[in-house]
Amino acid sequence: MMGILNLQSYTVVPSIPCTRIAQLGKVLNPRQCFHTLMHAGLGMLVSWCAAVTIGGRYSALVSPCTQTESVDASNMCLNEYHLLLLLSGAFMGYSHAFLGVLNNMEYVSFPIVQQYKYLRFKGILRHVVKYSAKQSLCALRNFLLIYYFLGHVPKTWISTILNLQEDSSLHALDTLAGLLDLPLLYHLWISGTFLLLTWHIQVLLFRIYITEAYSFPVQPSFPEVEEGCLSKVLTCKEPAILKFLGLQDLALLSQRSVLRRREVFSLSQPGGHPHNWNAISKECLSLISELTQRLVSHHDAVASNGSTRSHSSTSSSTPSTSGLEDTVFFGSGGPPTNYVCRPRFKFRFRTSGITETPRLWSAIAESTSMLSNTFSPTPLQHSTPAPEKPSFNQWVQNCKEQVKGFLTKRVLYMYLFSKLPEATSQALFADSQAHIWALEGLSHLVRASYSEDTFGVVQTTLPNILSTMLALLEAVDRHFKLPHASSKPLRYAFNLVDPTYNTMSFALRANLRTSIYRITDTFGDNLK
Amino acid sequence: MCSLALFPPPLADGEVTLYESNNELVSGSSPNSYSMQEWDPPSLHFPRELLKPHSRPESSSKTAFLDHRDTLWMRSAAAWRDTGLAGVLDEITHSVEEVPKWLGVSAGCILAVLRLASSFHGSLFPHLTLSNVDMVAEFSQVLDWSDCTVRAFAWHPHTDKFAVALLDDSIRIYNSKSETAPTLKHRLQRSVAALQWKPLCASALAVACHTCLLVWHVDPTSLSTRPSSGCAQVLSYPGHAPVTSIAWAPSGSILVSASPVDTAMLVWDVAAEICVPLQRVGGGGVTFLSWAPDGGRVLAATPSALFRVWETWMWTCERWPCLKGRCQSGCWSPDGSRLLFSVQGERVIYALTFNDALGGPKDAAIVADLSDTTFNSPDGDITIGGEVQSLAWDPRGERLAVLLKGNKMTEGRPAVIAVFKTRSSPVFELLPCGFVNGEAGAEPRLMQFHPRFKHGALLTVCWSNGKMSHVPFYFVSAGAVQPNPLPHLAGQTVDHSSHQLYTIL
Repeated sequence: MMGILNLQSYTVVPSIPCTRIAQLGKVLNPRQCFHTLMHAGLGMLVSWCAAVTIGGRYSALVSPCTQTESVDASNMCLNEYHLLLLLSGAFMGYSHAFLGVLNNMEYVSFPIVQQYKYLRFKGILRHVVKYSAKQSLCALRNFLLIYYFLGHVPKTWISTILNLQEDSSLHALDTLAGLLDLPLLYHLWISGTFLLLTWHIQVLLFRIYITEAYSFPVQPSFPEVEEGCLSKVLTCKEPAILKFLGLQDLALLSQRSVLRRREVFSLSQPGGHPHNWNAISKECLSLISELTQRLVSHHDAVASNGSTRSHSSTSSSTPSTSGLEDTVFFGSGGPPTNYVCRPRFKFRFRTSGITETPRLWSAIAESTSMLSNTFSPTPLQHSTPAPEKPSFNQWVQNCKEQVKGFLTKRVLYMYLFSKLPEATSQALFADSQAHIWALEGLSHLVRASYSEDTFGVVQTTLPNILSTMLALLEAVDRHFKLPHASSKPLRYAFNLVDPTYNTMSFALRANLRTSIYRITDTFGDNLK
Repeated sequence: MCSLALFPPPLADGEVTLYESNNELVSGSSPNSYSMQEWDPPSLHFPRELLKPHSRPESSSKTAFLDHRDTLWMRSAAAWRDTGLAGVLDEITHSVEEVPKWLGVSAGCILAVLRLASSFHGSLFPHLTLSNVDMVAEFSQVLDWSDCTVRAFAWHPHTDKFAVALLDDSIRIYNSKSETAPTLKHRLQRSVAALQWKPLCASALAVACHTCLLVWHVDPTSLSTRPSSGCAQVLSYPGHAPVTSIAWAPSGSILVSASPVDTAMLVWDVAAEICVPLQRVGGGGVTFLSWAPDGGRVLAATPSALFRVWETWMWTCERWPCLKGRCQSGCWSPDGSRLLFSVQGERVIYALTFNDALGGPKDAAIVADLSDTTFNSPDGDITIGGEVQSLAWDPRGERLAVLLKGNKMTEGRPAVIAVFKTRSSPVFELLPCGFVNGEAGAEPRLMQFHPRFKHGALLTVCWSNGKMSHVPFYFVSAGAVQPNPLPHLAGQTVDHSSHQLYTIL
C-alpha cells in the first residue's frame, strides 16, 4: 500500500473552480453529469493504480485460470478482485461527486477568524482524514450492497466481451462468502480512503487559498492600477469571489487598520470630494437595500399567496412596529425614533408596487422546486427526472391552471413541487455573507469616524446608513415572524461540506443588530 | 513597587466599607447607611437555605431501583453511552462467566493498558484526574466556588443590568428598569463557571456550563419571569467540557470558550453555531480567558506553568512560560496595552506591557508585592496577604481590585479585597487605596467592576454569607476630557445617619 502515495499527481481533479454561492440543485444538468462521470473515471484510474501497486491477486484484469483439470493452459479467466477494485473506485468517485453536488461541496465559506494558511490546514487536517475514512466506509458499504445484488452484470458483460472463462475454483465475489474477505475489504477501504482524502485535501486547499484575506489598495497610487482598488472591486459583479474578497477586506480594514481607514475618510486632492467613502458607502448601502427589497417582496409574496390576501396590508404593518422594540435597550443613547418612521413609508410604496406582479412568486416556486430536490432526505436517483428537461418548468407554467388540479393528487408532484419553507428562507439569505461584511464594514467605519473622520465625510451619509440598516432590521424581523423561517437546521459535527449557509439568516440578524448598536453606542446622545 | 504595608489598616469587625471619596475609603456601621444616585443597584441577599443545590448527579439515582440484570449486550451499550470504550471494557471484564475467555482476558489487558496510559497522562497534567466539578472549582475565578452561593456574576456592558448564577444552577437577571427578575433554568445548565453578556447586544448572555456552552437570548422587554429553555442556544463540541471560561470579543462578533481538558480553545460564531478550534500543544488545556478591551489580544492561561497571549489579527500566540505555577488570573488595561497577571504560588502581581512599535515585551515586571503584612488593630492582629484569586481593573483604568485568598485554616488570615489606584504616566505604578471590608464574618468571594459607572468605578462584591454589595469609588478620571459631574460629597460628616446629603445629585 505504500506505493499509493506517489499517485497523488494523478488525482488532481477537474473539480469546479470558484463557484461562489452554490447553485442549488442541478444534479442532472449535462455539465454536472460530465463532472460526475469524470470523477468516476478518475476514481477508476486511481483504483487501477492501487491495484497495480498492491500487486498480487489484484494485478491484472485477466489472469490465467487456475483450474488444474483444465487441459488448455492458455485459457484466460477474469480476475474478479481486480474488477471489484476498479468498480469500487468508480463508485467512490461517483458518490463523491454526487454527494458533493447534493451538499454544495463547491460552496466556499469564509472563515470566521483569520489564520495563517498553514495553521488552518494543520488544524483541519485531522478532521479531514477522519471524515474521508468515514465517507469511504459508507461508500464501500453501499457499493458492496449494490455489487452483491447486481455484481454479475458487469462480470458477465466483461467476460463476454473479452471472451474469458469463468474461474469456478474461486469464490464468486458477489456472494456473501466471497465478500466477507477481510484483506479484500481492507484494500477496498484503504484505496477508497486515499482517493477521497486526496480530493478532500484538494478542496480544502483550494478553499484555504481562495478565502485568504487579500488587501486591496483603498486609494490607487497610479491611475493605471485603478481597476484593483477597493471601490472598483466592490462594484464589480462578475467574479463574485472578487467582490466577496473586497467586502471581506473592507470589514477587516474598518476594524483594524487606522492607516487604511484614514485613506477611506480622506478627500480627493483636486476638488476635495470624499470619493473613496462615497463609493464604498454607496455600494454597501445598495447591497443592504437590495436585500431589504428582496425580503420585503418575498414577504409580500407569501402574504398575498396565503389566505390572508385581503388583510395583507394590515398584517404587514403590525409586525413592523413590534419589530423594533428589541432595539430599545440603551436608556439614553437608543436608536433615534425619528429614523424609525422613515423606512416604513418606503415600504408602503414598495408593497403596493410589487404585489401585483405574479412573476415574482413563480420565480420563487421554481427555485423551491430545485431546492426540494436537493434537500429531500432520500437518495434522489429515481425522483429527479422531472426537472431534467429545461423546458419542463415553462411547460408547467403554461398549462399550470389545467394540470394543477390533476397533478396535485399525484404524490410525486407534491413531493417534487411542494415548497420547503426553510429552503426558501435559506435561498433568500444565500449570499448574506456579503451583506454581513457590508454591515460590519460600514458600522466599524462609522464608529471610527467618531474620532478619526476629520473632514466629516461620514456625517452626510449617517442618516442614510441608519435608515437603511433599520429598514433591513425591520424586514429581517418580519421575515423571522414567518412560519418556518426561524427554525434552526440541525447542527453537524465536522463536515467538509460547509453547512454555514443554512444559518446565514441568523448570522445576518445578529450582525445587523450588533452593527446598529455599535453606531448608536458610539454616537450616543449625539444622534438625538 | 507597591506593597501591602503601605495600605491603611483594615477596618475593625463590624465596619463596612461604603464608598471612596476624596481619595479615601469611607466606612459605616451598616451597609444601608447611604444610598447612591440614580439607580441604586439592588444589594441582594441569597441565603444558602433558599437555594437547593443538586444533591446528586443524575446517574446516582440508580441505587433507588432494584438490581436488574440486563443481558451483556444491553449493559455494554449502556456503558458505551455513559462512559465510552473504557466502560464497555470494564463491563466485559467484570462479566467473565458470560463472555468467552479470550474476550474477557483481552478486554482486561486493553483496559489495563488504557489505565496505564491515562495515569501517565494524568501524571503529566494532574488536573485531568480531577472530577469535572472539582476542576471548575479549581480554575474558577470565584474563591471557594463549590461552596459559594453566588457562582458567577456579570454586569451588562451597556445598561444597568446584571446576571447572577446561583448555587442551584439557576441564573437571575436584575434590571434597573423593570421589576421582573427573570430566572433562567435549563436542563444542561449545571455548574455554571462563568457568565458574560454579549457586547453590543441587548439580550445575549453566554453561560459556561458543565457540559456545554449556553447562549441565552432574554428579551429585555419581555415580562416573562421564566423564559423557556427554547431561548437558549446550546453550543457543544466533543471533548470540550467542562467549560470554565468564556470571553466575548469586544466587537460582539465572536465568542471564545476554554476548557481545562481541551488543549484547543474554541472560537464560536454564535449565530451560525460554528466554531474554529485553535489548537496549541502544551499546557494541557485552557483555564482562563480574558479579552483586552481594545479587542487586539486575548490572554489564555493553561493549567501548567504557561500562559499564552493571542493576537486576534491572525490568531497567533506568544508563549509565556511562568516560573512558578500556573497563571491564576489576569486583567487588561482599557487600551489593551498592559496586562496584569498573577501566578499561583507567588504573592506578587506582574505586569506585561505590549507596545506595537517595539515588538512584544521581553519580560514581566513585578508591580506589587502582596506578601504577608500584619496590622495591629484593637481586635487583635490581622495578617493580610497571600496568593491572588482574581484581579479586576475598572474600565477607566484607575482602580485595581485584587482578591487575596487568605487562609481558611488559620485565624486572623481572612480573604480580603485590596484596592490599588493605578497610574500609567509617567511610569506605570500602583498606589495603595485600601481594603474593602464586608459585614462581620463575611469573606469576599467574587468581584466585578461595573462597566459604565459615570462617577468613577463601581465594584460589586459577592460575600460568603450570600450578600452582594456595591462599593462606589468616586473620582475624576485623570484622562477625562470633560470631568464627569461628581456627586456632592463635600459635606460629609462622620454621622452617617444624615445621608440626605449624598442622595442629591
